Amino acid sequence: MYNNSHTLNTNPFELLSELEQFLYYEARCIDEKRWHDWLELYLEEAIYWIPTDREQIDPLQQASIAYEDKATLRLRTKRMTHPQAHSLDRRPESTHLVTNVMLDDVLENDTVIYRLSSSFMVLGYQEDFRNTQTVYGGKYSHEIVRVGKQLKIKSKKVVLNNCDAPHRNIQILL
Amino acid sequence: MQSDRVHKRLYTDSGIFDLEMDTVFSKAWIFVGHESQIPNPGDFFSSQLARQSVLVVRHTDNTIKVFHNRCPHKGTQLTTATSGHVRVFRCMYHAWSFDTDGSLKARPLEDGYNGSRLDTNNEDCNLKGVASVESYRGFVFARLQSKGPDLASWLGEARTSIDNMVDRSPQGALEVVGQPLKYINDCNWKMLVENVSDNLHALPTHRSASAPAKEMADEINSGDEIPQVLHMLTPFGSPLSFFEKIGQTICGNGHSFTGGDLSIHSAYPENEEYNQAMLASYGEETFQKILSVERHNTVIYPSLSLKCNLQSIRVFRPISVDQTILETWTFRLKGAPQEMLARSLLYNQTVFSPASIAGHDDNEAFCRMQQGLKEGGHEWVSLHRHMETETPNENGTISAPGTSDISYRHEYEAWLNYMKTSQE
Repeated sequence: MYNNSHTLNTNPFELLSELEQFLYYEARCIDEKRWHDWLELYLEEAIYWIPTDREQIDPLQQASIAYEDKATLRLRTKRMTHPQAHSLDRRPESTHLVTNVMLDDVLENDTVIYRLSSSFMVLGYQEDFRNTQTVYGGKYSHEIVRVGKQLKIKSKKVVLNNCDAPHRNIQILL
Repeated sequence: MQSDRVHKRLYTDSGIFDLEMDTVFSKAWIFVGHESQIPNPGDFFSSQLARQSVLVVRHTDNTIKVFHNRCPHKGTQLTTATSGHVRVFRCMYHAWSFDTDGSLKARPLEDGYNGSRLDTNNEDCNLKGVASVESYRGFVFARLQSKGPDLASWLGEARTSIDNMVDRSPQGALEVVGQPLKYINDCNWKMLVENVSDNLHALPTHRSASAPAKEMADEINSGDEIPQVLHMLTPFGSPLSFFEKIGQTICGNGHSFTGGDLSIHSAYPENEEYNQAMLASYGEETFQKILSVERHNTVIYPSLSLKCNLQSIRVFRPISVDQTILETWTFRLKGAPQEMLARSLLYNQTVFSPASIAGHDDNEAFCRMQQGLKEGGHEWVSLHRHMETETPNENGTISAPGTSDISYRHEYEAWLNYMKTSQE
């Protein structure tokens, strides 16, 4: 953990670099539409959450833009590759920029959990009658665990700056 | 418009849209919110009424008031908050303050208005209230025009859908949770309303969600639990004969419901704790009667649609001729276990959220219709299905097969009635 004396076997800068690379890899899987690879990054008990309220603590007490378990994420990726996903007839393109990555906490129990926060900007484009590029921005919070040699996502929270605003289709995975 | 078809301009002409806001959305009761959002005097929330921003407030005498969100002095919006609690509304510009019944309470240097038209006795000093405000079982409606039927008569038989949604609470009460999901659709508001009763689209439009859901459910070993999301999305792929069978019923004033005994929500797993709570509250006979009402969707024309069995409502907020915000609200059944709320949230997030799995294809259809109707060639939009298969019921409603266009036709009957009679 940065700026904190934490006993880790790994050099903290190497660890941070590894975690950053992992976030970039997740972003790359989305931008390259490698849905299978993306899904593989998530634990079976993983949660993916886009709240409607910056201060939202409990996803089960009010609606979220998305609050999905692995089965729902799997369904989502299957739909995206289905030939009759009409809204994706013109494939959306995305560029994810992930930055300001901070390792906020390391929890050591049976497994190690890394809590990361970062800022993101996502440019989304889909050819339609509007032909405009959509910008999404906000903060990511990832909980990442190490399973064997691999890092896996335990949870990902996406807080959009405009999470409480009306949105058009959000067809880009954030 | 004609009885079996409507001209495409009804969806594309901004002059017609303006007229709709002055007639349909001014003469009809429009859903503004729910009483549970303002339990205490001084509580308020912002809402919309025919493109106008309004404040819905609980006054100290417990009555609900609806005001235009504008200071009578210079026109400043009184608040930009979505909800809150006030003792008085105080304008940020010149500090005029208003009681929660809208009356002017104080303004600095009062003497300066003496002898003017805007002296203290002038009612124009007060907040301007909306002409009519009424609630039905917690659902608050407002109407810009004062003339017209009272809310309960106007709802007619469609109010039994609100009854059923409320009765599904073991305490007979609902509570709004959080803010609604807000989804911008680049289409005319009528497409969203009409889609609620359109059972013919579910199979072809939503196949990309229903087919993988079925595939995933089929892969699960017998005995293992099927994730709830699959219970929800698989039925979208039911054969058209199923959607034909569920039927639909028109109720007057443009209101209607699809289903009745059967819907795509019928086969959800039961929640034993909920059943016990309902039994304890109502007894076996009434409990069975409440749960036997299996309506798929209800339209309260022109602003509201309900899924009674999921405690979910959709509210249609027209923005312009080709833009509509779809709000999806979730309710907690008071006295029911948390799992019932989790179920409603899951459905709304998966089907009606801007990041939904099923809703994107509805939105795609609306956008393509809005674009397609700009084309030449055909001038008309068809409302022809099952014109000769309409069965009157004893209570005055009329039923038809599930894939009939009867609800479309009925909505246009009400629409024309609002449009052709002159304004007050």
